[in-house]
Amino acid sequence: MKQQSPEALLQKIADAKLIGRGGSGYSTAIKWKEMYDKHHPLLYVAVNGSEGEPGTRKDGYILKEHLTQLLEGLLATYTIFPQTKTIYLYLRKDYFETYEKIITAELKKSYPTLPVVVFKEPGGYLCGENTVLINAIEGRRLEPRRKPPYISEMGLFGQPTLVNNVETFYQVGQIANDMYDDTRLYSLTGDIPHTGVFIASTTITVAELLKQTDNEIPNSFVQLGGGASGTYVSEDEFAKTPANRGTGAVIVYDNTKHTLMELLHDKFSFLINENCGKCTPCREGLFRLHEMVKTNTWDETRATDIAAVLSKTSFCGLGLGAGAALTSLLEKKSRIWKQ
Amino acid sequence: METITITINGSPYTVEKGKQLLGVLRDMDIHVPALCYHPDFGPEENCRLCLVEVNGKITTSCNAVTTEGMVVQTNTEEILKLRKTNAELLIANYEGTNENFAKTLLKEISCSAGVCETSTMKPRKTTRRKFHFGDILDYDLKKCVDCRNCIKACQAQGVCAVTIKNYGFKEEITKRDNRFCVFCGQCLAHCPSGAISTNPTMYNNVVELLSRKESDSSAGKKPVMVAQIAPAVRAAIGEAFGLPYGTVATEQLTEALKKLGFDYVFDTAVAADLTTVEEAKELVHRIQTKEKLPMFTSCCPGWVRYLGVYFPKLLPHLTTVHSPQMIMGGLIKWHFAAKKGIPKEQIHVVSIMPCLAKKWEANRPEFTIDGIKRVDSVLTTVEIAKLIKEKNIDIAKLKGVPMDDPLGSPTGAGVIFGASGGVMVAALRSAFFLLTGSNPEILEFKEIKALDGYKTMTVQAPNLSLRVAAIDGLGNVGKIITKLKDFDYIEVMACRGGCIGGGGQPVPVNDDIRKKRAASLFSIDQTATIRFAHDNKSVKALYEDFLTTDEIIHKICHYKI
Repeated sequence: MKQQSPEALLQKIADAKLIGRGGSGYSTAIKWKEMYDKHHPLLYVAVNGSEGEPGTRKDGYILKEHLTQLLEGLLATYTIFPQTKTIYLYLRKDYFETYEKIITAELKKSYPTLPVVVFKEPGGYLCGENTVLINAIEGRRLEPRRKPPYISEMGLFGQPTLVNNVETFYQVGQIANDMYDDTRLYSLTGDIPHTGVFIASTTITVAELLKQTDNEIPNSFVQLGGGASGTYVSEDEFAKTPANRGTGAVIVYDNTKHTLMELLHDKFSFLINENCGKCTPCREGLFRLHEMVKTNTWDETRATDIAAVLSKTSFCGLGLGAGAALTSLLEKKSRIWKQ
Repeated sequence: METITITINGSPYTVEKGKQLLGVLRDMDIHVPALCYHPDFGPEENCRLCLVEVNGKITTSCNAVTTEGMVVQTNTEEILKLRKTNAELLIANYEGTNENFAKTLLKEISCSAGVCETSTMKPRKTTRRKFHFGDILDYDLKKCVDCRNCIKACQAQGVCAVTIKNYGFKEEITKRDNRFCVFCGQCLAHCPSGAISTNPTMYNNVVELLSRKESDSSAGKKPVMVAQIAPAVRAAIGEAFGLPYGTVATEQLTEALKKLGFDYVFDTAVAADLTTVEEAKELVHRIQTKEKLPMFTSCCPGWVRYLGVYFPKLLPHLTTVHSPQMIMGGLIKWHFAAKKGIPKEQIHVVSIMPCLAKKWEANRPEFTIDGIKRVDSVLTTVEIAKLIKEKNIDIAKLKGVPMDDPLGSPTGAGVIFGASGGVMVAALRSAFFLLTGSNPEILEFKEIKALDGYKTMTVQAPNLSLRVAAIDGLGNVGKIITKLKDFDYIEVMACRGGCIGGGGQPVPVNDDIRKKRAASLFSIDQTATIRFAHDNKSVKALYEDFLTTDEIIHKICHYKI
């Protein structure tokens, strides 16, 4: 990376209109500028490589194929925030086990000044939530924290903390090296011939993405954003729906191979084991939804009520996302299974 | 205080800026249900019942703060529906009958969220375990609704004996490794669902003895039932019968106990006067010899256990004077019984206490005299209220009868033992007398009567100054323990507000309620004709008739560490 001032780097990120790639869709430039303007004497950075959302594997792909660009991104970050005490590279267990040695060697060789600690995530879907990440690194119970205080003010060890997704830092690296071209990484999975991670425009539609990757199949529908929190799109909407949602996961289903109940069963089996238990909608709501599917007592009215409390009253993003996903599936089901 | 204007349900209100919205709404009598929020602790945001709409967005009101121009809706159709769904989900957890459910605070809360019956959904916790803390506290996880108030109560006490394990629907409360319960019962006092209860052994024992007394005709075998009532009970028992907070119901309770079959009812506050006199003597002795200072009070068994478990090296600082309960037990069996010619073994002393740790204290083997227990059973305020209700007696309708002689009436000093700071005030009044030969003019030491954490003050006697501290709640002990050298005398009450906020007192409880209960006890003191423990005629008589030698004084009033 060529020598650049923090202000110049921030301006480039703003010009690139970079949106965080963790799923919540927040502007990276705004978030980083706010942090920058506060001139904290000390702060922490965490690189979120939890990648627990089913159907997403772009972060693993970056670690495998584009590690240098990710580390370039961390170098740019460290240039903007030289008061960073530690950069935690927070990786899910399998990523940690596969890449830890490679990353450490590369850091030693090419980025000896970066204060990076490669951290092994304790495991679980919820570990990707930013405040759970903080609790995990601090060794606390793995559940989300109350906000405020926001982690940008009081995060790791009581200090201001900047948390972004692995891909966000990778894209910052691309921006710093003038290689960013308004693309993002899409993870394509499901009943398609060519699964994998693909780089495409941030504005690409579902139809175009499937076409470009040679993944067009009949009778399909997709879930955008991730298997747990992603919302559903029926085939007739492919042409006008941008694929850019959440973590960039695109799960393609063949509607002749799946029933609503089977889909719900998979979803709830995953979620009841992955929520922390803190708030009522998740702990109780997901349990009751799973119970209804499992015991063949599905009651659509009750399910809709529970989806409403999940998506509107949950404590953290897990419940909100799960609720939104369920609501969209129930709304779309007649379009997904036409007959 | 900065005031701002906010709109609630279409009407403008002037409120304080930056205040918790839920509290603001409740102060205006605008109803918002909440299960996990307890005013004693900060917001927890678990139950998702206190939902409101703020500026068009649905949020929990427990963690929202008032800001200028905020527009709040508390009862839109959508909010009511969301609250109801969450309440249904919570109630579905409750494993118990509708009848038991009706007795819980949980019912009151969920009913106010629109759900008044137990759920048709299948309870999911049928195989959950039970666990116990000693033979004092029982946790039945079948009834737990995961509000986590017990954890917060225990944390606030600095004890942290309970924690949470597992995640999601498998989450449950569990004992924490290497931490010991001190039996303060604050978890119980903050549990809305009845999952935490008092171990019923002593209760069942008393019920059995009372019924045996009724049925057994052979006079020689009949147990003689003697009750003693702690100061704090009188200020709270009325709540269980719908009387206003802070109602003093000493004589009504006495009458109810007599109706239940108790032969004699005594006032623990009299023994408190004796505790005070002995403790003042010891304080003066320690100050003169400069030994084992500061001296700690020992009347609160939760504190005594806490000190023994977590700071055993400091145990010698405790006064060797027994708590009023233990002294009264000793007086009943070794003095009153002898006077009446009743064998000690025939007497069953039942303490009516605001406290669970008093059960532990009564059972301590080292507190027996010649192998005989001073106090046989301890019932909490809640337990005695239950027993009275089961016999269809309504305290609110009783006129009341005085307590029994010959152990007499307490002074004002004895009664304020039930409120934080009271033991210290009582002892200081008497210590002042012992040091100076005259009673102090100031009787209340207002500076140390407080409900917030701890208070310190220096009492000036003519030839020395006494540095004292009163700690309100075990959670505040840490604030003092590092500066022991700065004090001569430290009172500690395990529960916030002292015994009036004890774990065995009726629920709900909060600072307002505690203040009302404490105010009642202090008003008894202020209107009392005798306010110095050493001036109590009964106490004086005891020293003349019974406590005549050091040996007997030590046997009844002191213990060896």
